[in-house]
Amino acid sequence: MTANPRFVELMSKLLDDVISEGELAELTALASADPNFRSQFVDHLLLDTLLQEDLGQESLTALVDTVSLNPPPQASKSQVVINPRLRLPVQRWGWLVAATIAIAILSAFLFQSDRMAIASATQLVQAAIHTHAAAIERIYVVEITRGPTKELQVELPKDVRVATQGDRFWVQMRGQREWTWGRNEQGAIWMTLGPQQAVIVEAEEMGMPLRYIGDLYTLNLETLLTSFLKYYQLESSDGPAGTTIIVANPRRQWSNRPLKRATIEVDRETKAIRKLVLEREVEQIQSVSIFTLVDSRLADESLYRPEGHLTEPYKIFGTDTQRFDRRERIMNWFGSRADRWLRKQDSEPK
Amino acid sequence: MPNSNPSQIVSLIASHQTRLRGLVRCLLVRSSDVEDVLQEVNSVLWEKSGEFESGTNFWAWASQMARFKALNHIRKYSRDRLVFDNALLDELADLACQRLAHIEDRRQALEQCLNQLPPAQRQLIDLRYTGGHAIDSIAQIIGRPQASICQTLYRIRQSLLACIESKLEADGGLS
Repeated sequence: MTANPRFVELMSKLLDDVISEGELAELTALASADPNFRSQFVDHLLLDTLLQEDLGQESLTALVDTVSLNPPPQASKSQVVINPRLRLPVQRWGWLVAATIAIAILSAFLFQSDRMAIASATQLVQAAIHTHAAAIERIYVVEITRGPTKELQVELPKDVRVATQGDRFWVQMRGQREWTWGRNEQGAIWMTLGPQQAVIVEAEEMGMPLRYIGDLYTLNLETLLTSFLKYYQLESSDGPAGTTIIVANPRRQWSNRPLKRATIEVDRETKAIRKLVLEREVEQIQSVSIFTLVDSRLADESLYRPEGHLTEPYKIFGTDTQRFDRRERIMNWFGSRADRWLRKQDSEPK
Repeated sequence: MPNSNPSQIVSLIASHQTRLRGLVRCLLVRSSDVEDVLQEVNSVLWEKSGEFESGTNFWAWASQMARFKALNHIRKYSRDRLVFDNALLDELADLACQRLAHIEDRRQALEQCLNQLPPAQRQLIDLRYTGGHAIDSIAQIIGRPQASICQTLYRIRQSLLACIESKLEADGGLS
């Protein structure tokens, strides 16, 4: 294979999206002049496509939107209105509605007898998403087993409960200290330190222990179940006491997703998730998280924010408070072991 | 002669997504508009599915549509429209179609080749593709200059291509 340094440089820039128009003209001139360069050009672009498809975000949306938003050709051959840019952002239920239709059509045609379990698993997961979107808050007790964590040294309390509604959640932890925490849409964690103060830690400020705790207990059910529909192979079987068990395995075993396998126990009547087992690799530590349903009640909006867990007069310390100040408050509540929950800044006083 | 039922067309479009995406990418060259054009291709395939005769070669029909849509997009919208001449685009499309005939074999070979990458190389590929990080962001994360990241990524891609070719040859010369 010819190794022309200029071709290599330009091709590399093209693949990494940093090529200028002039450089692209130079690259295509090289490709026009030499069949060997043309061949390498196509090989690299196809490899890039495969890598993006297989490792990046899978894009089912184009097809799904096309099928769901346009009537079938037989029904309306003469006039089909097509918006050429029907892409995401997806509205909250848009993807699900679209996926339901597309998967129903696909499963009817593609998946015969032995694949029926997959189709019913898909439908059940969709039904569970719908059920959990209702204004009912469900409480899960969480048990975690995990591999050795010698570098991390994070102690997890025994009594942890996660309350969830739709894609939101908040967590109550009872150990040496009792505290509640949750996450906002930007991924920041808020945590209560007693009844009258709370601290907010932005995603980029989190030290590894806090990030680890956050990742272990975060339960964005709608996002999680939707990802099952998109990226996981689903199989269902009968479970105990009126439930169906769905096992979700990544479609591609070599994908880099932290969730390696999930098992969901869905109530056949209510379509609520009774039990969820997540086998994951979080911060390079193997863990199994078991969420078991223990209670359901009307959702209380206020509890998804720190204010809902505090009593007047209270104070919430966000990024307008210096990082070392927030760290000190956290350490005052949890002890010195929490000193790495907020990353240190170079500018902090020693 | 009509034709296929909707579910048959959907399954055909679905099973040809990788090929269609690959063909569109080879013609547009830059990755930025590929998904938009693929969307248009899917829409037009769905809209014109009445013209597809069941039992004939779907890829031959669909790839023509994709070619047409991609070339149309380049002419109308692309900032690179002056860069490509029709002869080159035709040659790229033909080459792409040859390679795409065995794209699933390539995908399987790639899977094995990725598993053979040393951890540091795999980490770089994951940052670029799984994480979707731009080069400047990877340079910050890893603490190396951007040019060095670009060079290393290119070398990894070259080694993946060589690995894929050798596996395809070992499996019967499908390249």
